[in-house]
Amino acid sequence: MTDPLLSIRGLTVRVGKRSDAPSILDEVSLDLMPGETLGLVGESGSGKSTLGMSVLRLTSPTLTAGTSGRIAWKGQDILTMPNRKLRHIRGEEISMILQDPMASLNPVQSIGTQLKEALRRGGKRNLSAAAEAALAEVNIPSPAERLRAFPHQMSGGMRQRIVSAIGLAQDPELLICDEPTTALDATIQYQFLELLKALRAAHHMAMLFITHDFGVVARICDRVAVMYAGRIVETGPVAEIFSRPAHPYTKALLASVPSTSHAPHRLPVIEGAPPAVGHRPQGCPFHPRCAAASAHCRHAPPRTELRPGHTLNCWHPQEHPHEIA
Amino acid sequence: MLKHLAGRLAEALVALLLMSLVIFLLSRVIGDPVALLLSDSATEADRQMLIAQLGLDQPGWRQYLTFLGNALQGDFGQSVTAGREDALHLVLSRLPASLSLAGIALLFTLVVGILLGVLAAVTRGTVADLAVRLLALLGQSAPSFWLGIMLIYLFAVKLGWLPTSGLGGAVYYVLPALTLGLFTLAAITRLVRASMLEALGSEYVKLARIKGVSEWAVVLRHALGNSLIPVVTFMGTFFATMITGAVVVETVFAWPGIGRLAYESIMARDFPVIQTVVLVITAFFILANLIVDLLYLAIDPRMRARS
Repeated sequence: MTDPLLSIRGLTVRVGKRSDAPSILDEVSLDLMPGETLGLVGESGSGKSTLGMSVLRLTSPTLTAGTSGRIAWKGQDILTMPNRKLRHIRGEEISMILQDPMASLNPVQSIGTQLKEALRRGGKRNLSAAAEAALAEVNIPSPAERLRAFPHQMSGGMRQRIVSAIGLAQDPELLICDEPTTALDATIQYQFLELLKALRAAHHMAMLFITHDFGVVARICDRVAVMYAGRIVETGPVAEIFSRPAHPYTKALLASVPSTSHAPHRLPVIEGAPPAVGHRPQGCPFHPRCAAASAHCRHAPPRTELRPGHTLNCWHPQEHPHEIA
Repeated sequence: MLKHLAGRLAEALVALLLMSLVIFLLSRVIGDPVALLLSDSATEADRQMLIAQLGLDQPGWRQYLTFLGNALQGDFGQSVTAGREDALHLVLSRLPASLSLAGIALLFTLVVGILLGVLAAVTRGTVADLAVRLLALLGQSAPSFWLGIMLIYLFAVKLGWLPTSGLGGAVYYVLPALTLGLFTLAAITRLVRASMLEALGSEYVKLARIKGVSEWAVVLRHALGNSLIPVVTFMGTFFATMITGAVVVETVFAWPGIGRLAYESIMARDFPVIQTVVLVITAFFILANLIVDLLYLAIDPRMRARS
């Protein structure tokens, strides 16, 4: 068996240094294999973006100070690495696409300047030619002209493709995508996902794909980790999680995905709201909203491996198969 | 682009014209020039003669047109003080002293203010940040006449390092420029700190860090360019602060500029000179705002697209 590219163990992120400070992430552990795409799914505030940011040590200083655990990249701990070394991992080995294409490009610099900055770090010689090729790779028409353009002259979909070109400029081995399709129109979303799949194949990259959309997970991910209130509650291969979700939270989330094959009906909802940071309950964080909860659930749930690769943290795994359209 | 500039120039001319009307009306409302010009021993006949000579027997609108016509030919009348000097000539002769002082103060303010603002933002929450913020707070709260007197007392009287007042070599500029610039310096520091913090927390700075760009390049290449936009926006206001500040600072430091000239001519009710000073200042003010517009086009590509 090959070693994982990225191996996170016991990652806890608190708001500040004190050990009693409220936590955003609680003892998160996961592995990512070379070339694999792992989906991180969860509601807003579940900590999935913080997890993505932590991998590049890009969280705010308050959160960085409150980070503990281990994020091993090819065996080296990113959290304790000197800045100089980390800078070479950023962009060159691990890159990232941010959520909001309208905000993630510098408004006062031309596309060419921003793209070439990344290409130069990637050791490219003929920057203009490389920049044109990079834009052509993400299907930007007439790339030579676009290099002289500024972000405000472009649509959201086009900007997100440019952000991807910048992300890929140094040929990284891992691309973290933080809800890259959320801000795009539905039709553009589909195109963009197809583009990401093509780029993933061309660059032989692994991906950490952060999203709240199971439809996106189904399209692009190999495995999925479901997050709730700063913890991973269930993880497994996409097909397995979709056909046989075992955590009550995963089941409820999947049940609330709209479907086109069933007659229109009222979608089931999960009662209540996720707990805010600092107000998370003892034991299983989902128990106050869980239909299957019992007195056990006030204590930390055990980790169960249902089948190879399919694990969950729950006192009451739901074993019956779940119908999904 | 050219069309945009032409539009701004037309606006500037309208503004100047309006200003001339305001000045004309004010000078007629505030006082009677005849009473000022006549000597104590003048008779009623002298008075009537002077009124006719000055055209004050004409209707108001005609007086204004005459004033405007003369002004367009560079004739703003003569000072009413003993020398009877040509008003425009007097104001223009004082202009270089004021412009050099304001220019030095503005340059010093911009350079130091931006440096301090960036320093405070980058070291946010540390002692350096606290010190800069405290300095900025003091700079914005200290009135300039008091500050000027304190600086003179400390550096000129007690320590004897710098001259107390007047215009001479470079050393004469230090205290007046410091006094004139401190308020603006504090304002720029706070502005740059705030906009720099905003830029440093932005998504595009995050993207620059993702690329592996060094912290220096992140600050200078990505954050600074964006955080200077609000500074440019406020440049017009800063210039206005410098001009109004000049009246006080030039008086405190006996600086031979138009600020002190304005003060002296107000004290002497020298209306032709006051009018000229105000019009010249207005013209400079409009010019400064035109320059700000041009700077905007240079610094922000979004503005280039709009104009």
